[in-house]
Amino acid sequence: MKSIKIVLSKELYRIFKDKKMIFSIFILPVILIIGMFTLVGTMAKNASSDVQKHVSTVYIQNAPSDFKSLMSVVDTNSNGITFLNANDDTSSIQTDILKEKIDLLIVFPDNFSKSVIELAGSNLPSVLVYYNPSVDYSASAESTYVNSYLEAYRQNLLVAKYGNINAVKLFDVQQSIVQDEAKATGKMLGSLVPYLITLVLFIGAMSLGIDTIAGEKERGTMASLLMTPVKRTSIVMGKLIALMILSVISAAVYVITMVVAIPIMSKANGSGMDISGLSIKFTPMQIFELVVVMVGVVFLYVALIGIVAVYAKSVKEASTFIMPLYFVIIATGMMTMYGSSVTNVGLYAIPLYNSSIALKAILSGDITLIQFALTAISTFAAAAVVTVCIGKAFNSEKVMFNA
Amino acid sequence: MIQIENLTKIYKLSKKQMQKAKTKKNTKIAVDGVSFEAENGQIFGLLGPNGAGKTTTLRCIATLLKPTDGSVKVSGFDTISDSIEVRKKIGFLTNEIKLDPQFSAKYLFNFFGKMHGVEQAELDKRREELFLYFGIKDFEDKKIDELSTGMKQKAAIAVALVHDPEIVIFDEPTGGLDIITARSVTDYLKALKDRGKLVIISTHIMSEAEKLCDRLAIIIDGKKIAEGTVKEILETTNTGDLEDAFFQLYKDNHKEEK
Repeated sequence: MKSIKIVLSKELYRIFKDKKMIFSIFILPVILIIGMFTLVGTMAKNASSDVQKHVSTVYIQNAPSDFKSLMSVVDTNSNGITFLNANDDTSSIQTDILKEKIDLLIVFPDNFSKSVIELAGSNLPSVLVYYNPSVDYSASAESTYVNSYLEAYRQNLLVAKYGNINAVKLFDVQQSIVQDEAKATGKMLGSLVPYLITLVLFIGAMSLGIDTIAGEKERGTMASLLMTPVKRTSIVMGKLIALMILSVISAAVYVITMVVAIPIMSKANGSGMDISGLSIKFTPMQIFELVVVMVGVVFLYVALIGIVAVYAKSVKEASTFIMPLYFVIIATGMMTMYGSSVTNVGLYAIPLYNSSIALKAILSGDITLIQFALTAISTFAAAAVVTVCIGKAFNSEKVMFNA
Repeated sequence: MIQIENLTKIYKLSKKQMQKAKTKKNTKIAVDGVSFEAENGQIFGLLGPNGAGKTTTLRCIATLLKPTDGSVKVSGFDTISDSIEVRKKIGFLTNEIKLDPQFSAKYLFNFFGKMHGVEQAELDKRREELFLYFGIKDFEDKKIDELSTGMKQKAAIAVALVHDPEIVIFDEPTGGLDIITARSVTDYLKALKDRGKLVIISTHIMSEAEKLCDRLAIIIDGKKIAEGTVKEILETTNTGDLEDAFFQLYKDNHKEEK
């Protein structure tokens, strides 16, 4: 026990004495997150104002005269509109929409006004709208013309035909939101947080984990450690606990930065990322479950990093070997981004995957006691098994000295 | 004291290593049935060419490698079943074992002292003494990374001796050192011997072995082919100096691999 503490304090000293390490743990995440959100916010803002400023190039064929006059009233900026005659060829215009030179083509059928007034049986006249949804300008023009201008035109015609518009509208729809605020927040957090947390916990321990085990082997400093009269498992535990502390600290820095910075940032540039209104409330049970699962996850991650690092002959080899594991972590996190909480109890017994789905279920308050217990037990058990394997590897001359 | 009985170490070779060594055998016998005893209060030398098995033998004594066959006892403790007791008794130093470059000599001295369970007061005393002797007192707070090669070596020696071990094992103690530093190291080994410690060194430098060692074991191709004081070895080979004796033995015992 005492020797675990000695190894641990040396590993922590290594981390906190190193200026580069301090920078990458405490300062880099802050810069990264603020930088990323500023960039995303500014770009989104620029893109939307660019679309708003853009004058749509619209071709309208065979437009009824009342629609023409409506357009001159509603769209003061109508210099982008070109009206075509009924017999003009529109195929070149469609090609230009594809080539992104023209935003929109609207084709009214022949005798549109007449058929609207007479309206016999199934002969409903169709207005054809050609647009390119993968181009922002075209998509925006389509939305404006269909939802605003053509809709306004339709209402005008309805009023002209029936006088009272409600006679044909029949009913209105009114939506009223009834939901549990805490659960809504949990759901939103639940889709994002497990992914972010697991990723950050893993990345936080990855580079130091490789350095402290594979690096020490490569530099030849491990042998002097193995010459000391302490159990090899104490050395392993000392190193793993140091990694766990580092991993938790870096995850905490990320979470705190996000919680503090994002509301400020989104208020400052008015982007859509508003989470300040969401109330985050956890019950003591939720907090307990979160802590247990997170500690288990950190322990397992660190042990997995350790086992990869101990079998690698060099830092370079360890960095290569760790990649498949890294992808597994990303994949398990991503699997929980969509859909609701997993209810199948058996899935909570699969280490790595279970921690992601459990975090999600805890945040949305869906987890059952059995699911939680299964997650905790299997995660800690898996971590313990891997740790024992690392201890075995530390005792193996083949692994430690390549002999 | 150290008792080695029929020590044999066979490495299994991977396919890559077999290609490198241009051999079709998947094993390599590094040490082949070596036995000797070394008493406290002497300097015992393992003499042999490169690749003879000196380092492997020392690593087996130091508990870093497990013998394939035979046994190694250090002060009565077996290196496999009582490895922790063995490690308390020995200080081991080779060129391949290095100090962590990110730490200062002082920090590492204290760290390894604590790992060996040395009390702080005792630790301070020993650090003062060893650092002063090896001339690293002025550089004790500098990172190992910033020290010169010789200074690194001296710091490593001081750290290896932190727990005042009963038995000191040095793999090529003067390798890579200038003559002045080498002299201070060999002088220190003599001082250790005078204090009743057992010092085991490996070397391929004849003059060093001749001057320093009370007893010698000559190892060629993993086999011990001679053992005794320098005088005894010269008598059995009927030669005038150790270098001639060594060549004589080498000629008689080394067979080219077919």
